[in-house]
Amino acid sequence: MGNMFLIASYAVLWVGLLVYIGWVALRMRGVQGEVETMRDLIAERERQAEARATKLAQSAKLTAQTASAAKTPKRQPGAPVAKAQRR
Amino acid sequence: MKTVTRAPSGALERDTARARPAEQTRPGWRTGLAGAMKRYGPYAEAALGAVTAIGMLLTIWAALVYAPTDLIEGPVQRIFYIHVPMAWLAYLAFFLVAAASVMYLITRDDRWDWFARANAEIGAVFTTFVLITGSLWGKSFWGAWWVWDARLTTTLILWFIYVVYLVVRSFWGRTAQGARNAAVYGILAFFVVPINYEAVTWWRTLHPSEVLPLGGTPQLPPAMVIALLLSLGAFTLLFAFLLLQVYRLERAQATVERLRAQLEEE
Amino acid sequence: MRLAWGQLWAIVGKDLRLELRTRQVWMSMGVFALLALLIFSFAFDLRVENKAAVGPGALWVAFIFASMLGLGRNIAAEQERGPMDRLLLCPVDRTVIYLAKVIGNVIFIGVVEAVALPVFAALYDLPIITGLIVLITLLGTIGIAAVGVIFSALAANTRAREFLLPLLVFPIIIPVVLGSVRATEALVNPIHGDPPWLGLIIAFDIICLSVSAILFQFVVEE
Repeated sequence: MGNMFLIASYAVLWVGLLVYIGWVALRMRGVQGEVETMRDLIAERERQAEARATKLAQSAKLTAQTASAAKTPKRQPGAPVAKAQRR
Repeated sequence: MKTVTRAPSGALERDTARARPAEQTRPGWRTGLAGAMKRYGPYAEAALGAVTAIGMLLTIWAALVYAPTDLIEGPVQRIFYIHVPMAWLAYLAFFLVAAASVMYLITRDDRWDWFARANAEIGAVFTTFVLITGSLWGKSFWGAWWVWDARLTTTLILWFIYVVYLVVRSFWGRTAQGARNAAVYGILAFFVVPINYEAVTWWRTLHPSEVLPLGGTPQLPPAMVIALLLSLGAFTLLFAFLLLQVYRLERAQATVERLRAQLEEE
Repeated sequence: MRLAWGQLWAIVGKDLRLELRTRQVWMSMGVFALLALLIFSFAFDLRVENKAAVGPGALWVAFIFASMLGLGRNIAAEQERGPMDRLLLCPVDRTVIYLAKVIGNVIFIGVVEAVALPVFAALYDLPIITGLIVLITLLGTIGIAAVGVIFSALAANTRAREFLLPLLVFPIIIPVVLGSVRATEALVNPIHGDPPWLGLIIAFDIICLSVSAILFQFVVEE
């Protein structure tokens, strides 16, 4: 009779511990996946923003060259544009 | 003019320092430690895991084969070798939650908060095992799954405090306010535990008394003491290993929250 | 020091005046405590030999549930009218605010208990109305309020706050519950060599009040 309780308690401990460790590992994997997707998303957005900025800068250069004779050059948002105009 | 140009450059320096810790900005032993951690960390962790696994297997052998059978209680006494170390470690985790909470309130460093959370989670798991193994032993020896004895009741209250801590933390989310709230709860709960213990001791006492009185001679035969100490060592390693894993999980979850906030901001 | 005293009583007075204006809460708490006593009389077998054992427990459970109602009202009032936010703008020490809130709640809960106690003594026919019951009730209520005020502040700045409050408070106030119930039981049925339950409640009150007074600033911090 006593043996049964002994076996039961060791079984509960080991099964429980393994389940807990597995659960921690599962959560860890889930969180890491989330981190990856978010990093990708952020990188994607940054790339898009960069592309937009370079495009803007190029177009600004173009407008600055073509419309240099004009009295009031069109204001473009963004720092590189402002620098280009100042020069 | 000078101040205007200086301010952003300073901010830039600080940003790069945050992005890439140690190396150039913080010389001294911290750098060496961080570098060593980065290089040898995974190996050390794998070694810890391996030693823990070996220790746990050794514990089974020591508890079930090496230690002599108790004359009065019979084989069921062997539950003792898993029950007692886990109970001690659960109390330790409880203390660590309170200590980390104090450190969090002083330093406001999120790492202390993660540490407190990880300790609470593992403490809850260990306390659950303590209650289950204890009640299995009780059913066999006392003939009842549960008795309202002082030590049992205190442990049950401790379990409730852990569970409430984890539940309310999930309600409060990962905000600075939530971390402060949880720290306050953790500290107050810690101060109440001794009174609690005193109260339920006056109320009832049935639990087998202290087996290793501090400073006195142990009442157990040496083989039992060796088995207990071995088991205590193995469970301590297990505790450390789990703590490391759960701490890292907490950190990763905090990173997710930060990234999510960054994404929503844009 | 003198200034702190003045501030303390000013806040207590303000809170009590606010409470006096809204009498519904007092009423509902009192009625609730009496209802709880009524329900207990059905739930337990109240023959003569049982009464002394069940009565004190029923009394204290009724008191604790009624205090939870009162403390929950604290939260709701803060959320609706926001006196706490305005209080925090004043140059008053946070510890003073905390102590004032505890005193206010002790008075508030105490009035309800003062009404419920004689009714309880009559309904359960127990000889507990002595000088000592006042002391026990006061000390027990201080313990409940000391924990309840800081935890209602904890729960206030979160969602699902009314539901969180008992969850936070109950595991912590167990020594008070145990001590007050046993001390009340000793009034009805004195046992020789009873442990000093009152001393335990006093120790609890002192520890909880001092620790919470220090920690309160972190709870209300913005």
